[in-house]
Amino acid sequence: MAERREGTVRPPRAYAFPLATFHVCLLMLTFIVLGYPDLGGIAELNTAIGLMAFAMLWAVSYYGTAWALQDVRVHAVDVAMRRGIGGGARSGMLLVLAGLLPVVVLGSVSSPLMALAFAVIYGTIGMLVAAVVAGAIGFAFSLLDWAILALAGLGDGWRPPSGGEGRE
Amino acid sequence: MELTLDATLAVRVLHVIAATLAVGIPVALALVVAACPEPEVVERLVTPAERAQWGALAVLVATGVGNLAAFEGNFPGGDWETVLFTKLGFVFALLVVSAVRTFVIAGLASRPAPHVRRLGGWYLATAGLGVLIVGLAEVLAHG
Repeated sequence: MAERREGTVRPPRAYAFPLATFHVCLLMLTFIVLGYPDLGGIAELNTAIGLMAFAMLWAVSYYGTAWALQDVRVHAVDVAMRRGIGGGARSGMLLVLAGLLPVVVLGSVSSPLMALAFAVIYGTIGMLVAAVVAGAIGFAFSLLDWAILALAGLGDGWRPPSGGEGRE
Repeated sequence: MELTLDATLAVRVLHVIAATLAVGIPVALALVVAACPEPEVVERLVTPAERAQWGALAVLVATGVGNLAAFEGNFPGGDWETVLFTKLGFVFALLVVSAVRTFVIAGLASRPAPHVRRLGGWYLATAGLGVLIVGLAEVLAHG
């Protein structure tokens, strides 16, 4: 997985795919356990919309995780927490902006002016709330990820080779 | 027998395919590692295998939620619930073990060859959890 060539080291960002998938799967498990037996009314969604919602959640999680993993010192728990909160907040805002906002605006208002006003108000408040909630989730995941790195024997993280920048 | 391909059936088919990959990939990798190939061979194999494994886990969870949604809230209850939550517990364990394994691989890549053999144990653990989950899924589906 990581480069062996002297002078380079694959940045942790390469692990955004497994980590983002891990996060989304854990979110879904939590959702099932907390929402059982109602499951938050997802039975009312049709299959295609349900799968699209999962794909969108995965995409924003990937975006936030990749952002958080840009820093090669992410193994340090304080850095991990800061990056986790930042990555989570970005994911939440993107989810509102790209996913929920168009659906709400297009689905609930008829005139263009109302749609604009609705988008501005809902978008502002929605993104703020999403940033706080998703930031908290990102914080929790950053601690979990840090524990997993430690379990995997990567407590020292991906230290760049001496003299290297540690990024490709 | 009339076979109707509806969305629910399609989701179940995807779920079974993903489960097959989630169990089959670690079994195959454990067998490969047990044969002590060159570390370069292992490295070239594990990168796509890890991606496929995580992709399979994502599909498994997404379609698993779909399968539960298909009950529309009318779950059997009793022992069925116990088995469901036991299965979810093992899925959680599978996710954590898979995540640790992925980062063990990241750490092994810069170490000498003998360490690579440790991967076999991680793949076996992953496969074992996968088999347990498949067994519980069978109980949930057919009692």
